[in-house]
Amino acid sequence: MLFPTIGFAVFFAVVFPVTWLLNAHNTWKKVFLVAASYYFYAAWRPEFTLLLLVSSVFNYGAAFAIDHFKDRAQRLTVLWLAVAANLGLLGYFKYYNFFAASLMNAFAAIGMKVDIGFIEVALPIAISFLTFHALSYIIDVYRRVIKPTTSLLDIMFYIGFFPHLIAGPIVRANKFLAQTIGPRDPANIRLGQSVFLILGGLFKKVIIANYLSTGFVDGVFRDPTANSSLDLIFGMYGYALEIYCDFSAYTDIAIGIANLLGYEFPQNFNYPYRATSVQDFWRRWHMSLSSWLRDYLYIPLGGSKFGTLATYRNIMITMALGGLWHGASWAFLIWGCLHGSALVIERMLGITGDHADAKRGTLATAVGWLVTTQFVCLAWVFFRAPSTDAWLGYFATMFSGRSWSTSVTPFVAVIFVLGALSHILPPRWFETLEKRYDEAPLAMKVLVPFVVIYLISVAAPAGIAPFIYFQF
Amino acid sequence: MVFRSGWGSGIGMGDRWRRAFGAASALGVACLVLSLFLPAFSTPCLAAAAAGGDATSKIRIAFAGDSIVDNYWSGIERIVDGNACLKNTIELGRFARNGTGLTRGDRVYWPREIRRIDDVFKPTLSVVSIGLNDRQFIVDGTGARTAWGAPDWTDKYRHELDEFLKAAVATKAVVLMVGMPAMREAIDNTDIDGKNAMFAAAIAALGDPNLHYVEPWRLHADGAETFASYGPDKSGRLVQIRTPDGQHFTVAGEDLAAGYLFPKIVEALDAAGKNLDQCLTNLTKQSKDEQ
Repeated sequence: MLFPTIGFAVFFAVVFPVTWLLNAHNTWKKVFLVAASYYFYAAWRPEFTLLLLVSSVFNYGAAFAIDHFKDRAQRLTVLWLAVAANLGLLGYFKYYNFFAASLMNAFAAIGMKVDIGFIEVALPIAISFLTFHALSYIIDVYRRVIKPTTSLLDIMFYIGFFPHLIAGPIVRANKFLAQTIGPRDPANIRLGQSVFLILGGLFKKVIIANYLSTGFVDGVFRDPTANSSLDLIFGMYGYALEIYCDFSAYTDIAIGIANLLGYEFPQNFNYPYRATSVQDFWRRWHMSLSSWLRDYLYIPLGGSKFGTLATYRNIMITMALGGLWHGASWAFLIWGCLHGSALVIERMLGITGDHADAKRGTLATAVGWLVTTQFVCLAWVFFRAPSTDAWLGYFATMFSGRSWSTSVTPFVAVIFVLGALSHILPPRWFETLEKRYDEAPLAMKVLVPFVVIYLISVAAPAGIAPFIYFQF
Repeated sequence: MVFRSGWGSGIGMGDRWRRAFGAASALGVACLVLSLFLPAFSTPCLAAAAAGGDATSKIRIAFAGDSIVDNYWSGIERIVDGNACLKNTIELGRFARNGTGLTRGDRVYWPREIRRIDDVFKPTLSVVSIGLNDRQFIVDGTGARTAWGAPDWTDKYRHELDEFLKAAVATKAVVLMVGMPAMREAIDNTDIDGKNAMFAAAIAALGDPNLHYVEPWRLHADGAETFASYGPDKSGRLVQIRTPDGQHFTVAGEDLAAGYLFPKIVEALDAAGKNLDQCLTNLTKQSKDEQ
């Protein structure tokens, strides 16, 4: 069930009022929301709801086991077993075939024929997000950030809550479980902000991302060597805008929907292409993942505590695994390593820390923005190109300067501009709009979403492509 | 945009509950009304734009059907783009309509759509693949419904298929209807086997010389075909050839399927008097060798 579909509109039209009708009966409300979330997940593959259930029950029990032991070594042993079980499940579904193929190809390269065999099972949608939510819970229990909850329902709700279930944002267990304790306060619904997050998300996904994808970017990446150098440059920037508009749209809609139901999710994007360093980029892009990787991987590895070389090693491991989290392919690994290398180089150059911009002059900041944006966009080519041959061909053709003609149509150019505006328009414009909406009469509150969704649906291309991050 | 603490909903009504229900009714009404009316407003794909280009004497090949045909189009496009002679001789038209089939005439009625494609593109040859999304109730061109699993479902589907095939041959283009390849799920494969057999039988029954059934691409030339998400690419390296949904092709898979399909297209064009020999010094031989 995709957000920008009639099916979801009907689903939410039922879930929204029922949730608030049950608000005074918190347990029943959570039962209802868990049931709704499982129904939402079952829309793809009903049998995989069992995976949700098993993950919830297992991690519920694992948290108690971790908490049961007082000895740190025992607690750590149980934690490692639980982490291994969670990652084992992820590895089985997501990475087995990739590693099997890589191993067989490696043996073949030295003249040995080894047949490990492949497994043919469907990849459960959103298994990476589901696993990271579960890990957040048991690691927080191990760290005594939270006590294990006695309510299995709460864990089922935390892991399965439908707005974040498929593509995040990754919500920390301690932040979410605190919100499940009692009825939610309707006064905390930020109606204007939620409605504009949802409408803005729909616009970014349905209009900008979809048209950029079908109208230009897909064609360029399908056969890079058949395109001009200029089109490949536009394709690179086009994909940068597409993936931002696609992924940020999903999490904007998720945040808006959760807030309408009374729950708060963390911000996930903050004008990432305004970043003036790669470190700054990761503080603005998929913020819930980058902070997860920092807190649950980089810091446990030692962070920056054990000297310069160890810090560089930890950054590279974190970013390489972060890349591989996106999918089982060498391209994702290269993409992660590129970002890791850039972060290491920035540290070497002293471009780091919260106040890096303040220490740099305006010109240096501008150069920082320019270099960062080019680096991030170039790295996206690895993320998008379907194979090694594809990205090799992409870069070879782009840098060859073979031809400077372009197939960008005026319509695609307009979409490019709209995508760029998502980063140029000042946030206060949106805030003013949200405020006006909040102050508007009820009839206007009904009319605005209706008209905007209608206009988007009229202007939309036929069919809605799945969100890019669904595959992760 | 950042959520700021303490920013209330500001609906401007009395107590909290009234505000909550005000919000509920606003969103609920909007969602329900939209859910009722949106299908009527949805804009059809302007696929004709993809088929633009000059009105010269190029050989036009249309790719029509569901999302699988997009994979074939993509693979064939790379073959054509990689050969300057083919690129000057052939124009491809992309007319896939994702999520459609012969069952849901209320969304896309393919007998009408294939005529529309003929009007806007005038194909010399059409590659058609359809049926991937057809395990569901049927809504025919008049809006009449037949429930999935109803006793007359198969007869009704065959009727829809015949209507589509008649419309396709009426275009005067050569039509290659490609069977659906093996899928990951057993339930899909059972369905596909039945449909492929029905397609072959319906085409044979029509007996039109311009209409041909093409067996689906197979990973293994011999034996029972089973789904494989990984397989050897052109160089023999093991790569992912099918997408995680267990149905479509990855780019490497598209190239394999196109390598199988392209000689069939060449052969059909040749039979229709459109010879591509001048462009195919090595290509056809290479594709045949791969098979």
